[in-house]
Parts: sequence; structure tokens; C-alpha cells
Amino acid sequence: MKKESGNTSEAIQDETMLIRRILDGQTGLFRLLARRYAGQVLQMVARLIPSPEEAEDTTQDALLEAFQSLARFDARQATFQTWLMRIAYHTALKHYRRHHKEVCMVEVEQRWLDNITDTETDVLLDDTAADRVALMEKAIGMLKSDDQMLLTLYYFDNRSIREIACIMEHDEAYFRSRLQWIRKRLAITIKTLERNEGR
Amino acid sequence: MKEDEISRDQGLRLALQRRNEAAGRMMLSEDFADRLMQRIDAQKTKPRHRRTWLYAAIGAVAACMLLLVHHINNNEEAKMECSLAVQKAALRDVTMNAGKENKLPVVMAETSVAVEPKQERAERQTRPRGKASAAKRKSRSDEHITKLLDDADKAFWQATVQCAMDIEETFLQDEEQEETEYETEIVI
Repeated sequence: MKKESGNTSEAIQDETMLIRRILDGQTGLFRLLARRYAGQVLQMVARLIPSPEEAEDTTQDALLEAFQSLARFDARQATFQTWLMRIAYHTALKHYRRHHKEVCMVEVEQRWLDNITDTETDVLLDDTAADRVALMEKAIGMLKSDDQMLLTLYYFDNRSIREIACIMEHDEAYFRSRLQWIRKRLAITIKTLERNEGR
Repeated sequence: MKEDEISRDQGLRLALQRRNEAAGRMMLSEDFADRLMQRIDAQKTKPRHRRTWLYAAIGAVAACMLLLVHHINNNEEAKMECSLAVQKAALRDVTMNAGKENKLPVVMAETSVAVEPKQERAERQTRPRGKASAAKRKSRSDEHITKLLDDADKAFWQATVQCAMDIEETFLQDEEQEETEYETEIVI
């Protein structure tokens, strides 16, 4: 554990030195940073942009943006990786909004959200039955792009709320309540889809 | 919160895993880094320094402050000039009126009034005693002088009267002598 944390701090120091040298004019060294993080940036981008070509171009845009605003990076606020993910998320979101229309097929009213209990939501989202999971996939696709990203960062990447708040640039309390709201909304959508399919 | 919820929402996690399978499989082309570096070189952009913007912003704020201060100063000077002009006009009116009353124009010079230090004031406060005695002394000497003058006046008048009487007496004596001399001549 100690060795791991030592390695992390060494990596951070190495990164900080690397960034300093790039800022001093050795721009070729940015290739090292790009090689290290390009895969993660692509994964983040691909969640919003399914086309491989578009995703690669957007990844390049994100890395170029990171290079141009490298002087703004503050190691005290976040790690370089989190900072880079933030840039990747915003670049991908900008690209997505420019080229795709937000699809929201199920209108959810506030009174439905008020009527569904927490227990009912927990049971629905904890169910691993294949047809339920398929409906859940569909329901996730009906969410807004930033809500989809929030779910992915929290449940799939296992990132903390603090990190998510840093990447998506909002306060932690907002994301806590937003997650609860998305869960309820998903539960209602699943129920509605089940009813529509006559289950 | 994270630890508690890690076991929850298993169905949701599964659905998200499936959705992200395609994204996870995506790979970058081999020349990705080269193309990125080419783009960086083509743009010939050095990383933008935040400090440049910071200095520019500070400069702009300082310029605004200077302008504001200059503007405020100008306003105050204008106000001062205005009030001075009003005061001078009032002063001119007063002097002109005074001139009319005396039938002569009076020119009043502007004099600066200096505030004396407190010590001098204290000295001044002690002065009235000396001044009173001096005044007393002065009045006494004045009385003395008037007395002397009166005495001199009296003496002068007495002397004048005496002189007149002496002249009259000698005249009478001369007349008597002439009469006697005339009588003796007649007798002779």
C-alpha cells in the first residue's frame, strides 16, 4: 500500500515536472502525456460519441485543448487525470450537442416522482433479470447526456462524488440529489416501458 | 455513501456495463500521437499563459481606477472653484455697498488668517492685566499733563495780568512825574 502511494506521488511529481518543462517551451514532451492518457480520454468521449472516427477526432480536440490551457492546470485543486477528464467531458458534450439531438421519449411528471417510494426504486434497479437489464439500458438511453455521464462516472468508473463534481464542474450536494432524482426517474421509465410492452 | 451503495443497484450497473462495452473496445489509431503533435506544431501555439491575462486584467482595472480618481478630482476642483467664485462675488457685493455708504469705493485686500499656536493664546490671556495697568498709567500721566497745562495756563494769565498792571502803574507814575515837572516849570 505504502509502495503504491509512493509510486503515485512519484508519478505526480514526474507529471508536474513534465508539465513545467512543456510550459517552458519543450512542447514535444506533451507526446508523453498524450500517450499516457489518450486511452482514458477516448473512453470518456466514446460514451457520448459512438462513432469511432468522431470519437478519435474529439479525443484529439480534447488533448489539443488540454495542451493550450496547460498553464491553467492547478495540481492543488485536482490531479492531472481528473483535470484532463473534465476537458474531455466538456469537449465531448460540446461535440455531442452540436451533432446530436437530445432524445427524451418518456415525459416524467413530478407527481410520479413524488409517488414512487425509495424501496420500490431500490428493488427495480437492483434487479439483474435479463429483460429488466435490457429495459434499463433503454431507459438509460432516454436520459439526458449529462445524466448518462453522471451514472457512468458513478456506477461504472466508481468515481467519488467529489471527483465527479470536479469533472462536471458542479457542487457535490447537487450531484447527490441529482443521482437520487435520476434513480427515481429510471424506475418510473422502466415501469412505463413495462406497461407499454404489456408485461 | 459510496460504500453503502456499492452493493446496491446491481441491475443498473449491469446495464451500464453493457452500454459501455462498445466504448471500452474502441482503440486509437497508431499514428494518433503523431497527428496530434502535427496539429500542435501546425498551430504553432505555445501554451497560453494565464499570467498574461491576469496582468492585462490588472492593468485594465488600474486604468479604470485612475480614470475614476481623476474624474472625482476634477469634480471636486470644479466644486471648489464654483464655491470660491460665489464667495468672491459675495465679497465684491459687500465692498461695493460699503463704498456706496461712504460715497467712496473701498478696496479690500484679501488677507490670509494664520491660526496662532495655543501658547501665544495663553500669553495673550495673561496680557490684559499689564494692559490695564498701562492704561491706568497712561490715564494718570494724561491727568498730570492736563494739570500741568492748566497750571501753566493759569501762571501765564497771572503773569500777563501782572505785566499789564505793572505797565499801567509805570505809565501813571510817568504821567504824575510829567505833571509835577510841568507845574514846577510854571512856578518857575
